[in-house]
Amino acid sequence: MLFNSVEFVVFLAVVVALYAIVPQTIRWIILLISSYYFYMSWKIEYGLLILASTAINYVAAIVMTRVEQERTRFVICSAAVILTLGILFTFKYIGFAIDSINGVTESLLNARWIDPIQLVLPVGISFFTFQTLSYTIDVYRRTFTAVTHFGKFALYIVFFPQLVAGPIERPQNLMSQILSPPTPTPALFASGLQLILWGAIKKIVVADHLALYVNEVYNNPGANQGIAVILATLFFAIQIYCDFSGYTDIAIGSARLLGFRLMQNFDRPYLATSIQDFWRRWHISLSTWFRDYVYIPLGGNRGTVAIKNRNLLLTFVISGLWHGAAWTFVVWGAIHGVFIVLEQLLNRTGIRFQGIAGWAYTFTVVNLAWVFFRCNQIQDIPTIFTSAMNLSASALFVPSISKIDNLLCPLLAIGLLTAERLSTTSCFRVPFQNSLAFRYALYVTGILLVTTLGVFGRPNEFIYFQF
Amino acid sequence: MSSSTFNSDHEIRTWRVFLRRAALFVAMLWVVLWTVDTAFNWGFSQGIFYKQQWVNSIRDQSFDLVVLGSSRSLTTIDTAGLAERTGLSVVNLSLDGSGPADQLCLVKMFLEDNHNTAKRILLQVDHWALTGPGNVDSSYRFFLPFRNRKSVSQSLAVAYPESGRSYRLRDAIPMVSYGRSNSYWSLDKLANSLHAFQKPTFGELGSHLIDRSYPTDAPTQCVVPQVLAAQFRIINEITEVCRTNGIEVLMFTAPWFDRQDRGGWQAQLPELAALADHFHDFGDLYRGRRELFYDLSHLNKAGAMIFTEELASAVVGTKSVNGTQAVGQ
Repeated sequence: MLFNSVEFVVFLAVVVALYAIVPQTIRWIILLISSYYFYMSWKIEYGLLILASTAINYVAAIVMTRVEQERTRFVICSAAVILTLGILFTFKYIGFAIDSINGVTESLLNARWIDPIQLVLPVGISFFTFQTLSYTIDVYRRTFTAVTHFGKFALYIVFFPQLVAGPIERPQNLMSQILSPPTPTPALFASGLQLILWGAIKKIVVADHLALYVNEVYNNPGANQGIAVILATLFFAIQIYCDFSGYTDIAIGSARLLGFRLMQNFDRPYLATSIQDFWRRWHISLSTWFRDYVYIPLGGNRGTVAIKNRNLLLTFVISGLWHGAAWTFVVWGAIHGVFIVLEQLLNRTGIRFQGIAGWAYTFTVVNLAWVFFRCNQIQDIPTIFTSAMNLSASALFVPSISKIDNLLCPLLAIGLLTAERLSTTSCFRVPFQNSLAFRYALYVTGILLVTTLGVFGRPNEFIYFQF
Repeated sequence: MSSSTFNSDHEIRTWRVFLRRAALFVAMLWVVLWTVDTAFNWGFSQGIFYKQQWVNSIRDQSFDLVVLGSSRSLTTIDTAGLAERTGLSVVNLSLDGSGPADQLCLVKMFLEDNHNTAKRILLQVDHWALTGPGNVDSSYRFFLPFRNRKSVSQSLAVAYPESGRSYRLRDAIPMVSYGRSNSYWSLDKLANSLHAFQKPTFGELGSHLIDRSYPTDAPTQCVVPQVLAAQFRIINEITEVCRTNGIEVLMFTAPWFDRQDRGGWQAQLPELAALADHFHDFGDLYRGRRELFYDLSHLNKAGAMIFTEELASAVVGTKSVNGTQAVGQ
């Protein structure tokens, strides 16, 4: 059940209505059942998978609270982490690992060692695995008390608004709200609806339109040259932002309809003036997760400069691999890691990235890295870069999509960035907060934009669902 | 909301205000969407870019001969040449990608809504039109701006008796249907409907001839599956509409590059031919003549030119059912 489907709209309306009707004490049951229904609508077997992950971490946390010995607690925590990551590895990385081993043996020995395995990747497995781990590790660190109520713990893992693509919540925020459910207020409800509409515009109107252009260029490397390839890369930057932050807005908005407040996941990332700044603004729930559960345990800022830089690089390579089981994502993560290390080294000499120069540098690096993220296979990279540099043969329009879609792509990209910029200014904020007519006019305009310019009837999954 | 939802009277009052405002917004939104939907219907009905729009623009005219069918009569007949050779006034209503249900909509719009008259109809049929269950999504999309017209809504109800209701339900919320079809009935097409800056692909009399050759590496055989009775019902409906309007029905199949497995098709021919006043099977007329086709089921411009001569002879040489010579004789 995709967020951009009629089924989800009906589902959400029913859940919100039921949630409002039933007594507060049993609301969690409504949310738990609806969340499992939501997840199992993709595949019934997924329910068992998430239940297994829930049970492992529930038991581990309970046992850890009853054990005093640090060593035993560490063993229990490690076992839970290994088992939970084992599920993720089996479904997400085993095929990649076998392919990589076969690649090496084929080049060295001219033979395949292992028969390839193709498992269907359960939707959102990377997200709920990390959310589960944050709970278990926090219980181990004694920064959160284990929850004894299995149902409510299960709801923390499977809470449908953020289940399949985050934000990756921490127990301190989401679990606390599940244990003492907040009362929905009209203001929160209205802001939830606003976010859902804004998310739908970003996804259905902007991201899915840009996808027409981007897919055409990136799925046929070498077919388009020069400016078309450069534009496709710039469009992809906007596409993935609108796709993912659009999803996040719908997730946060849906949770608000139920009275829950989820964490912020984006903060206008393309205004960043350094790569470090970019990661403070992009997929915040993931970058803070990696900071707290990978970078700091690796040693963080402690130790020599070399160790710190090694930790940074390693964290970003793992982050790349988290995104997808392919070398393209590893390289993407490594590029970010390398530039952050370079920034750290330059910072030590007193050189800081800021202002327009910092923005230009960051935007360029981020876009270059997106090429690796978007390309279908690592072998396409030379063709894409060669085509991008072939400016003499370039054309603005991609011939295989309609002229109007070619024209709409830059207009929508610029429109989106302008709207985001305007939304923070007082000339927008003041009338938006004070004038009902202004708000209604904006909502109606937004709905008309979705109906007239939205892309429907194509299989437009959210990009981050594949992770 | 359950009583435990609220902590105070103030909260209840706040929710009441919110719900009142939400209701007001929904009502206002519905009015705006209905207005835009109606404006879209009107705007698109002013255009001539799509064939359906063009057919809608033809009003109160009389024709000797009307051509109706799919792309296989749109691209394989030189309508101007046919008019010249037969001395008849001819119009080609054929719609690319259409099936019998769409053709029923077209002919009813043409005759009943727009009060045009015709003496004969050249109805192109082939197995594609008769073997599938029809595509309700496609038909509904084709005729979206005209869906509230009696001729179209009745035709779609006849063609898709089971799924018609769900489409009417969808229409209860204005603009939902336009939203789902916004790549076909797009804003630029709306602007084009009002200002005609983009010309239609078909010519003055409704033909679209394609000057392209058939690639040698392209597939060459078309296997004809069994014909379904369901589509006979709609073809029969088209012929009934024609008869009611005093129009003689000449049915024909257009040429194929290489039609295979004709057993099923041949067996159905008598039943199909019985629906028409005259039936001509041109399916194998230019079999294997690559220079006359642009793909396995469509003649190119050169093919259309010589086929039009053939068709003209058939039209002129066909005696009408009431015993008089064919029109134009």
